[in-house]
Amino acid sequence: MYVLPVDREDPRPRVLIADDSAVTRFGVRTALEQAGFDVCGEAADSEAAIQLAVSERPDVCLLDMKMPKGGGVHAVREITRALPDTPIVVLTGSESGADLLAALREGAWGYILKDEDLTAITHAVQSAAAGERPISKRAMRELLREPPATDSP
Amino acid sequence: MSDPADPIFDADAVARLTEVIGDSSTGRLIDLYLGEAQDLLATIAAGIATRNDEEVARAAHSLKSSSASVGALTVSTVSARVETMAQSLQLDAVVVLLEQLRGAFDDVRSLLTAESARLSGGP
Repeated sequence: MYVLPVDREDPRPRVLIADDSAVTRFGVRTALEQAGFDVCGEAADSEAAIQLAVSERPDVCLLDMKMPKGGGVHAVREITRALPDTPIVVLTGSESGADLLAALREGAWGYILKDEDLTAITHAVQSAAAGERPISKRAMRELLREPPATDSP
Repeated sequence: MSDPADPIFDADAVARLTEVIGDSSTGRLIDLYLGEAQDLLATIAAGIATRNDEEVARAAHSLKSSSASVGALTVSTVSARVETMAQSLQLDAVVVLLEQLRGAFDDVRSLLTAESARLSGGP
């Protein structure tokens, strides 16, 4: 006898949104739902994001970098540890190359800027769900422009 | 008071939102913004009173982003300055900026309230 995996009835990719702004969460949620995603959870702080990610096991996590209770980098690190195959897309106001590098080093899969319009943010989540890395071109340019940090005095 | 040459509101930002999420959702988003912005202004004031520069910077950062998304240009610009000042531990300078921030929000609130009513099919 073969035991077939139990598929969820809803085939839509599931996304977790974590941002301390209800305005941002509502805008992104609405755009993603209209694009065919199932937003399986919303979190307003880092700890809630980690708990929801572990319990809901979304297909993609979209995380703000500046959240209360630990910040986005903490959430990226913990979610990556718990769910190493789940792509995490960072949603941030910072186009600093150093911040991009820090997020990627902690396990972020993508990095997009908050001042992008909702269509671009939706495309970034679609790319991540498809296995591609959505990386802000502006942040990437900054990364290549900034002098490398030195590890030794 | 805002400089007439420096627009306080970008109607195109609202138009871009309606293109993606539709009129009624944009109206709801603006309503959310008007409530959240007042909460964040109160958080900034409380953070100044308790000398909590981290809280001031975080609230200003959030206000900067959400204001930009609804086209509240001056609120976003002044919030960015508050964030920078708080990050460099200059809370005394933030006291002055807070008054500018409140003024900028008062200026744009009626415009956004009208936009919300229009998008929601109200008067």
